[in-house]
Amino acid sequence: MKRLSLFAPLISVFIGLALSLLLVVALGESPILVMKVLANGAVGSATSFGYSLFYATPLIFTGLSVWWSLRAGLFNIGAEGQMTVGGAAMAVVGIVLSSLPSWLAWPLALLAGFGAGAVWGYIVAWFKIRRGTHELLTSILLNFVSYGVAGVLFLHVFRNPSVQTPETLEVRERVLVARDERDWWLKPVECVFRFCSALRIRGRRGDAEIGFGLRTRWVGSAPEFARRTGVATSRQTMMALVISGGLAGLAGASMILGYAHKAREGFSSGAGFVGIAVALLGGRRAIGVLLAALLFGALQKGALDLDLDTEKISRDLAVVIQALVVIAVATKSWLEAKRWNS
Amino acid sequence: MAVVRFEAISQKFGEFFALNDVSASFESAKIHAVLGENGAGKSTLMKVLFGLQKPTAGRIEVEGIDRKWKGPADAIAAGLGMVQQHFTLVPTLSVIDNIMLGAESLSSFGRLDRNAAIIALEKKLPSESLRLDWHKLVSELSVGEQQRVEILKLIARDAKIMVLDEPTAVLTPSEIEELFHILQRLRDSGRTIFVITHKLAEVFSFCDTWLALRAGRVGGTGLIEGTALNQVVRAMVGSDVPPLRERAVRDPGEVFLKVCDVRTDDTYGVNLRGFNIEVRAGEVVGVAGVDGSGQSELVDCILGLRTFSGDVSVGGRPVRLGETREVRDTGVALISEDRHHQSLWLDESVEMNAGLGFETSFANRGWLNVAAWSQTVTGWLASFDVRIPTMQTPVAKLSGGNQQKLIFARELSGRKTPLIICHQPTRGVDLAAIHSIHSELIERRDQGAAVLLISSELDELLALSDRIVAISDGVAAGEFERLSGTMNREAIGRAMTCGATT
Repeated sequence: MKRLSLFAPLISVFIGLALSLLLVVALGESPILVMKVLANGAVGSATSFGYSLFYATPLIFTGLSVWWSLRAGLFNIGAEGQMTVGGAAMAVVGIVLSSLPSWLAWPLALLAGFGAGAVWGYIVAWFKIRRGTHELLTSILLNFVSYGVAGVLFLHVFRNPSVQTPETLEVRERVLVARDERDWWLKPVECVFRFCSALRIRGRRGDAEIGFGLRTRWVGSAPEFARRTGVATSRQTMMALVISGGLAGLAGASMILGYAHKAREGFSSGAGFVGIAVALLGGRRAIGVLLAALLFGALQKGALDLDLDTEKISRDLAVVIQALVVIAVATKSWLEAKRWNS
Repeated sequence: MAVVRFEAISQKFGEFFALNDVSASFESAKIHAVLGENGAGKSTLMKVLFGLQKPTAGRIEVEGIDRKWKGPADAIAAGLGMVQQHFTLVPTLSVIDNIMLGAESLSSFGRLDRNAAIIALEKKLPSESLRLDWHKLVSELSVGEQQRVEILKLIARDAKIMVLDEPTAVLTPSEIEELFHILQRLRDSGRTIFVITHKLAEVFSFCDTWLALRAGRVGGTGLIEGTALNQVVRAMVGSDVPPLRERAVRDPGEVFLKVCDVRTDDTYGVNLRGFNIEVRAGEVVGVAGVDGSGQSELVDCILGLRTFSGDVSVGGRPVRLGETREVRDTGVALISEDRHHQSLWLDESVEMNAGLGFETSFANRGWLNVAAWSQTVTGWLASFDVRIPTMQTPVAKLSGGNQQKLIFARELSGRKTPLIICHQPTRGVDLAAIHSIHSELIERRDQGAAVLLISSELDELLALSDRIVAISDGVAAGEFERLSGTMNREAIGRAMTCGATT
């Protein structure tokens, strides 16, 4: 089991990719050409690679968000909504608190993003603990609420009156995460780097685990055992969903504070849902989630060029590949469970 | 004449031999006990006989004919039948409908002809004692009666060879006696019966022959008549089991666990209806009852996991809902009923499982000190003789006995434990481990621990308890003491089943 943990995700990726290429062949396009375009678009140049990182950044956060909930035995599929409210909160702070110094402003904006997502996660936890409503249901339904809330902010409160599109005013420069005008592709990189070094998520084997993280996994995997040993299981559940929501709330940061400098309706563009796939592929360790996010980000970037460089294949191939990879992962867990039971 | 013969049967699962060169023959019209510890291969052998498992090598002969089953259907057609440990009945159908299911007798236009089925079945009954109310719903039957329906199904299908897998696991003492009387009637009518079991008392009272398997091989076989009990034990275990440690004579101390008039109010499931029990320091108090009489609810109340009315106190401290941590910290060791879910984190390592619950004592500003954790729990496991391949092995891979010993090591080493709650401590555990668990409990009692022992195995309770409280439908239905000599099997059995009226 342990030995497979690094190898198996690679197999899943390989199977997903192979199946997609079969589809490509069936559509009468050269799989070699498609692979070339994908690779070139994703890592062909420094700029391409920078873009890949840019696409990966929100996925890292939504992926970690879903991953954290899975560790606690919960399935938060509301990262999309948590990301939306988180992004809205960051934009609002960025617009309103323009007079603060930079070193205070951008951490504050991030904190607001985390907080807004955490509140969304807390609502899910409240319903689960107090009313017994399954988190799958509440977390996905809250997505729609978040669109509404963000819509009101974007369209009525902080709308940029000088443009036609539903988007906010620009975030003040002081709040931005990356400000260098020339190496603008570095912005997402810097973004990732700053957050990751701040988060310092570590796995058990490499170093040590914190007791809190252990209890989160314990309640997730062996809830009855934990409960009987005196672990406050509802509190762990609540904290897990709050943290999960908060991580998703940060997902919009690279977009809003790093690149677009404003929030626009629909800016999440499905990153919350792709985060589920990232978490499933990433497996048990945080580093796996990071790698999965980088892979999916690179796929999204690489697939953009398919629209132009091939005749019959569009950028949606990235979605197809992602889906097939997830199916491969699911098949693997299913086979494992089957073997375990027999 | 041998009705069933195994010749050099082997069954391999991967590299593991579940059965290794098993040869045995069984005479017709006898009750054969198939004995062995968990994993010894007794169920596998019966599955091979019934066509549920294809042997890797060897020959099966039934009634003198060489048989190669393609599946259980072949075996059924040849006159075999099996009663599984978990019944396969439809609770919402009547007795006769359940018996007919799969072999319906139809009248014109495909209507079910229940009367014809009843008449046909009654003709086949070897004894009136098997009769049930044919039109009663199965859900209204007791467990013992449901088991009878399973046997009736086999009779209706003309099974001449019947296999019963652990038939007495869920029965009360009087139901067990009734079951074996029925089996003896069936035997006398010419049927051959195999009983898979690990309870030796029953084997010696009711069976004709025994076959003991040990690690997939035949450990011994013979007639019950003229066989001594420890001969069978040696065949099962491979060595003699030393006698249980003598309990020290001592007066019990202060009341450590007090449960007074506890009632639960749950819409579904079993409720306690004013249950009382006291456990003092230095005594083992047994709770005897059929599974599902309120034992799990009692444990939940003591741990503060369930709302209740009445008073529960542990070490003089009242128990309140949600204060499980506080209760455990007063020094409660807990051996839960469902080992896999309530006491272990199955896919985590031995090391992790052996220390869980004490993680705060291995923490330094939140970070766990893995080295200290590992070192400490290694010591705990060694002192309880838990046999493990490595500390990183998933605990799911250990045998039941070693898992249970690991749980004992964890629960009894990490802190002082003036109260030990044991719920079915030896279920699914091999004889050697049972012995060491029993000795440990007696030793702890002698050292002054209060032990609450909940078990559905009366033998275990009689061997260990200073007092036994019978539980029946959520109330205490009688108390029996070792010293005053009131602790006898029949009286306890009656109290368990008939309630407080006795």
